[in-house]
Amino acid sequence: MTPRSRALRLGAGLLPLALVAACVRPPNPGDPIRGLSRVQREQFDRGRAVVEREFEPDTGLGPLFNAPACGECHEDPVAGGGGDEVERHVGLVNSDGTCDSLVERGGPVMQQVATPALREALGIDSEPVPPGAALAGRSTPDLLGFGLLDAVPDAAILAHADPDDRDHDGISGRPNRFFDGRLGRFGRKAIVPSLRDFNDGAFVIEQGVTNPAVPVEETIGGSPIPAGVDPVPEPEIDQRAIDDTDAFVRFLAAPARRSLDREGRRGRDLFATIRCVGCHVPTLETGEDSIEPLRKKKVAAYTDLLLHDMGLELADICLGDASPSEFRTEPLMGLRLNSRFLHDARAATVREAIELHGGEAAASRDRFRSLSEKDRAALLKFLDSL
Amino acid sequence: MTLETVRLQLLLVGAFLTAVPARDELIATVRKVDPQMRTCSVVTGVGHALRVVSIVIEDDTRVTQRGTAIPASELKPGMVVRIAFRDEAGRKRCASIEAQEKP
Repeated sequence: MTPRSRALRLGAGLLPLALVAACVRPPNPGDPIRGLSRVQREQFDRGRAVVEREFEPDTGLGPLFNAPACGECHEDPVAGGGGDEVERHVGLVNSDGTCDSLVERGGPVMQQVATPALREALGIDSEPVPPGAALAGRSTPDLLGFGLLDAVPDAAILAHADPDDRDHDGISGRPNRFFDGRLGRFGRKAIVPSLRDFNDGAFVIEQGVTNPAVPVEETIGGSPIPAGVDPVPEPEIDQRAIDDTDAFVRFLAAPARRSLDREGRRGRDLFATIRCVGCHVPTLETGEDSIEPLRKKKVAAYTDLLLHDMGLELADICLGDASPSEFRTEPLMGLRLNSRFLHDARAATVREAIELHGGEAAASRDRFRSLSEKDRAALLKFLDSL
Repeated sequence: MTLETVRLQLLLVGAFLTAVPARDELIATVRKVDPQMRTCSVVTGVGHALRVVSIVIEDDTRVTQRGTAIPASELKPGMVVRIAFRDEAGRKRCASIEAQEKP
């Protein structure tokens, strides 16, 4: 065989592989990340079943809760997606400037539903809001790609921090920290350090389902649960179910971006030009994760996972080091799957959400306003590709 | 030493280990210090499921910052502390409180 015919044969052999690679479809919302082992894929599937499982009072629900299943809120367009439910959170800035999350009065998350037994015992339909507390609405985020965000090293987040605005660009992102000092990244105030903590805590605050990591029920506005209203012994869910749920959330693929036409590409450039990228950092990179498909991956998250002052118009509660007007930069991956926008779902459109940006984002908002209508449309088209 | 003596000694050691509660540790944020009541309440938790834990400061509780002993009254709200304690009859009796450096 001549070298030329060998090359042709090799080329012919590789062609089907190249075609297959070109035809690999992007993940649909709710799909797992590629490259999971069979065991991980099975755990993902079992976890989805836990997420969709509806708890009842005799299987651990309540006595206070926000929803009977994770998938009740994280439902759009699939289990693990977002939802239209808006929670009630509370907080209070003390006179000395420190933040009180009103934990002793049931905060920071106030559950909005009571089981029949609790209603009968106390005559309440939801957790009573402490008098004088600042209130905040919290919409249901989609969880797609959260495993990748969890795998971003702390150092990569801190590299974007500029608390004293030393580069004088008017943007001064700073980290929030959990109560044990760990760097936070999840939640609208970036208080939660890890996806595992986020999931373990959510079982209790959202469903009233205790688990090995959080074996104690929430109080009723700071008061103990009346005898007899919570008959299921703690923990109300076992470690395996918790691990499966964590695997499901962790392995959810980030939504695939739509391909950009010329207008969309111009919008992407404008997004950078008017400095939206100062906070909505286009790409983060994961570190040396123990899970191979999460290791050393570029994530088009469009966030820096840091806190930024968003102005008094949006201010609500403090949490940890975050002041009422500071919010974590919302990841924009999967933006097009949402139907409401901003932390409390107050904006009906992306354009309205941009208009409501204040504080450190005010300059970018003003630049957006000063764009021609054609350029604004291009920028919005780009955002609709995420 | 007879077998009976050894057995008795083992029983005594077992009883002692059962009587002394295991030492536990937590890292949390100071919420309030009450020097009169000799208590310190801290915030800890998992995710958004936060809990307030009240600990008892004993006369021999070692309170330190950067390796130096400080009075408990110098613990201020917002400080992150590492606490070593024993749980005795539902009360968390504190062996040491170490103020952590801001990262």
